[in-house]
Amino acid sequence: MSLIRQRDILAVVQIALATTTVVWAGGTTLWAALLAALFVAHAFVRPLPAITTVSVQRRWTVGVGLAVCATAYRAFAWAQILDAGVDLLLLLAVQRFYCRQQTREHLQLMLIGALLMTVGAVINADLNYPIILVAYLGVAAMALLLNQLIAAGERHGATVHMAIDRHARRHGGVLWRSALGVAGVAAAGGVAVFLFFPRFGIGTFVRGMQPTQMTSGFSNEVELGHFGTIRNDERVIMRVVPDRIEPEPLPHLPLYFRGSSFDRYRDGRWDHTPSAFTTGLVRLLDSWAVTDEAGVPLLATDRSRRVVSGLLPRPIAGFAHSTSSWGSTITLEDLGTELMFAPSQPLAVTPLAEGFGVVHRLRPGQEGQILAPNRPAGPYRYRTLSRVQPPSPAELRAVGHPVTDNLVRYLEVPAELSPAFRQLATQLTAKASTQADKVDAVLAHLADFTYTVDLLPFERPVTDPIEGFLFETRAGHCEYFATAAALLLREAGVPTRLVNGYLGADWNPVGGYYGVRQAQAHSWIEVRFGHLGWITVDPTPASGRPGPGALGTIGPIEQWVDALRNAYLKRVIDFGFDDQMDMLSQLGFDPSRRRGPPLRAVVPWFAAILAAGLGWWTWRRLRRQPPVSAEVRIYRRLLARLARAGFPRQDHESPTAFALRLRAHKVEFADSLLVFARGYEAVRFGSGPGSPDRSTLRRLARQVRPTAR
Amino acid sequence: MIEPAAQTIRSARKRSAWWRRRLRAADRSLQITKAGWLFIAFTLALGFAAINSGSNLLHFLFGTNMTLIIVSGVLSERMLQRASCRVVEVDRLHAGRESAMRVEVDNTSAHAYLLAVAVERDEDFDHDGQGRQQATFAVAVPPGERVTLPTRVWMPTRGRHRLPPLVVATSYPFGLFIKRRRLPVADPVTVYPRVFAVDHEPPADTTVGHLDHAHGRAGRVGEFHALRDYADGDDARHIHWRVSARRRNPVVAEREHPRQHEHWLELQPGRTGEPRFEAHVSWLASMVVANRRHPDVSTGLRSGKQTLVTPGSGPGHEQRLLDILAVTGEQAG
Repeated sequence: MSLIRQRDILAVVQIALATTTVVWAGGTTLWAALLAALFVAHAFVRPLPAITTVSVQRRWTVGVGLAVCATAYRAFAWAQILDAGVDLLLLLAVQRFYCRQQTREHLQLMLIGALLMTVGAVINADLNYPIILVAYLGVAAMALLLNQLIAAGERHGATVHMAIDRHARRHGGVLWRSALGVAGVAAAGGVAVFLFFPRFGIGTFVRGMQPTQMTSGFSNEVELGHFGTIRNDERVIMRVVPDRIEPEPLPHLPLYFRGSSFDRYRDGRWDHTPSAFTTGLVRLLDSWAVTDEAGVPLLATDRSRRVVSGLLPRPIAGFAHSTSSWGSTITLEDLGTELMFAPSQPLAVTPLAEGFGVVHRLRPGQEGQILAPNRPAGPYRYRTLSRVQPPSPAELRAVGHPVTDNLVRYLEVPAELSPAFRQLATQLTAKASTQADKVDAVLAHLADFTYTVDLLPFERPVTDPIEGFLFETRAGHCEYFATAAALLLREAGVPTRLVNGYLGADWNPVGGYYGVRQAQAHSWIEVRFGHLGWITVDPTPASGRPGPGALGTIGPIEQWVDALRNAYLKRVIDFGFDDQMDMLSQLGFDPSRRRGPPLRAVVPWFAAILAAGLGWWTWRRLRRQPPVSAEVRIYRRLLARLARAGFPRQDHESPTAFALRLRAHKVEFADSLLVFARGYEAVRFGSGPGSPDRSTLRRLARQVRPTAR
Repeated sequence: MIEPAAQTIRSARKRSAWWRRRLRAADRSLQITKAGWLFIAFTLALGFAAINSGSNLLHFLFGTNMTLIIVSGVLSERMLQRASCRVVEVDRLHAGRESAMRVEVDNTSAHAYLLAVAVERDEDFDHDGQGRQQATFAVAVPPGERVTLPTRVWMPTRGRHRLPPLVVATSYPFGLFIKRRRLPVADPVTVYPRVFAVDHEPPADTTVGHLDHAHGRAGRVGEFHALRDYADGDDARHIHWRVSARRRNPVVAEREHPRQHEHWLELQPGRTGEPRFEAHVSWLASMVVANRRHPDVSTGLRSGKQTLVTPGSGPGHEQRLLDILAVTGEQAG
């Protein structure tokens, strides 16, 4: 295969790899990438013309100009900066593939590929990026190497070009080894900068400007029946590293990870009562502590709200395990929601201020939700402290029938529900002496129901889907169980609210963490037990609850892949200044002993000096005239002399045409001018050896002696 | 005794020369190509974006690009250090005509390949009035080995001249920079006069009893005439060994030989560089070359009454004539 063909193929591969990283991260649509691929394929199939004609160049210029305008419009009017920019780059790549005769065009293709990889670095925080990057570096290095060989051929002429082509094909293996070696060294340099170059990020570019896909069930409004459909997704969306890992970790951790919560049910959907907040968040040390309705943190503090001996839960009377807590670090994938998930009853959340995906501020949501507004796209990490041990049944019964005066909205039941529903609720709880007994009675009733995600349409018309579930099908998924229990208990005077989140986490021995899969999404309810607070109650039968993940033959591989991805997120994407300091400490340097101003203070000066240097260079560059060769200077001087003598050259005339015109007019020096013109053209456009040199040309110019007319 | 002032000036000159040598970086030059400028600009922009955003992956890409720039410089220097080049004449070098030459490129490294080096004219040198040499390129030279690359040289004037100054250049690995090293100036070579085709046919009569002294392959020209005993002064190459062995006495073979036709070339006096004189020398050289086709013609060269070269024939004789014609003429000034 010829050198040029090899280079063409490598150019396509490097653009394809770079585009893949962008498409994978949602930087552009798959359709745009496929359309670009189609055009590139056509550019390859058609015979490449020797040169790009002026008319074709003009057409491309107009097309690219229009594309730039469209890009600007999309960027400013529709705020699609990234998508529009990527689409423009793809168009430019297509244009370059159609006109790729020279090495210059290929260099531009390499630049486009590099820009796409840069965009990918900004928006793609997934494990596929480093894998593609490795391939890209090798391919791009070889493409550049071949391109420079072809450039040498172009520079030295056809003979040398043919020799280069012949020898390069013979030494293909050597060239590949060389290119891969250089790429390896460059990658090592990149790792060194990655590890040791201090981070000054001020966050103008945020990670992932692209919109992310919202996961069903975690919006502000949830329609009954939709949440259960994500139960087939085995993707790991959360990784939980407990503060204390047991020597023999449980293979399955049956924890409820609380996400969204709703207090109002009507027309088959759950939502929030406007402006009804139950909890808040206050800043304690580096953490955000959850407060109760009165604004008091659930953590133990003194009167000045200072933390007492670390983050410890506030004791609750009649709740023996109220002071025990469970801490963990969670890496949450991008679910397209601002919700932060925390086990059972969250007490405090600490965004980890390291790396790129840092959450700077938290906000309390309705019904005890914790939100991360303006969260970065892609995964981010935080620590949580939760109360995970519920009160014992005896402690719950001890509460009796607590007062529910301020909990009216948690007792509301849609008026459309039939008398049969109300009768059922009354019937189930008739014999209950305490609120806990009522809960047990309702759960016992629902225990006979069938768990299924295949929902069949109701045969009889129903006023609410929950009535069809209770009286007709007696089958449904967790949302139906949770909603039915919540409404029946409300009808019986027990305050309830619905919670969506995840149940359970599976131990990944490779990564040393618990992984929560999308399939472990679950719905349950929380019941208010007076001063004990909101207690988690799961009405779904045990057979319907998400259990340990089934590890098939590819299970261990999945664990490896997921562990690798987690390590990538932790060690690469979220590698930050603190990690650098830790690493330097481990290497024997103590950054705390550093003297003098911090490097951060030097940055503006450095930037100013750099900007001044660039400005000076640009000014020099703009002022500089293009170099004029010696023969052109000789020719210009002669033309000036002839013009002064009254023999100006017309703009369209070549030197020879000019001389022939003068000879036609029988001008006496026309013959000597013709000799000079032919010599000049031989020097300027000739093939080198054999043509007169510049001194001869100078002599010929002197022999043209015009007499003024 | 050296005057103190003169000594000071001399030492100052020495220092100046030392600095000049250092600043020229041992006859090396570095040119940043357009691709190089583009790459540097892209790297700076990438660095700005990385510092601005704190993105780890952008830091990695920035580091990769910076390393590529450094590695490009280091590798190109290594290639120049490994390359040892020598220009070897293949053809006789005539003025105004391209002649074949050879460039021998040695890889002095015992372990690593020499990649992508070009031997080309020195662009920093003013080539007006000087010769030109076609660039040549070696893609890969194995460790410790030599490749021979063809090239062509064109010299404008006859005489003893140095070949055009050459550099060994490389843009390895990625064409971001072109680094060049001047090759040491070689000894002057003889550039023979310009030659062209001339129409010259000598008379074609023959004679007998002559030994072919002038011809390189002794005794192989002409028909066999007779055998005679060896006499002192006979060329040993003319001994007929088989007959001598049979007779136990050295015998030489005589052959019929074309009669040597003497062709005297008259060299007019003139000054080197003068067009008429140069045209005259060129014509004489062309005649010498044309007579090569006629082994029966003995070509002599004289200037007025002075005989410069006595008549003779054969390649050695032709070489002697051309050597004289290459450097003949009064020097200007």
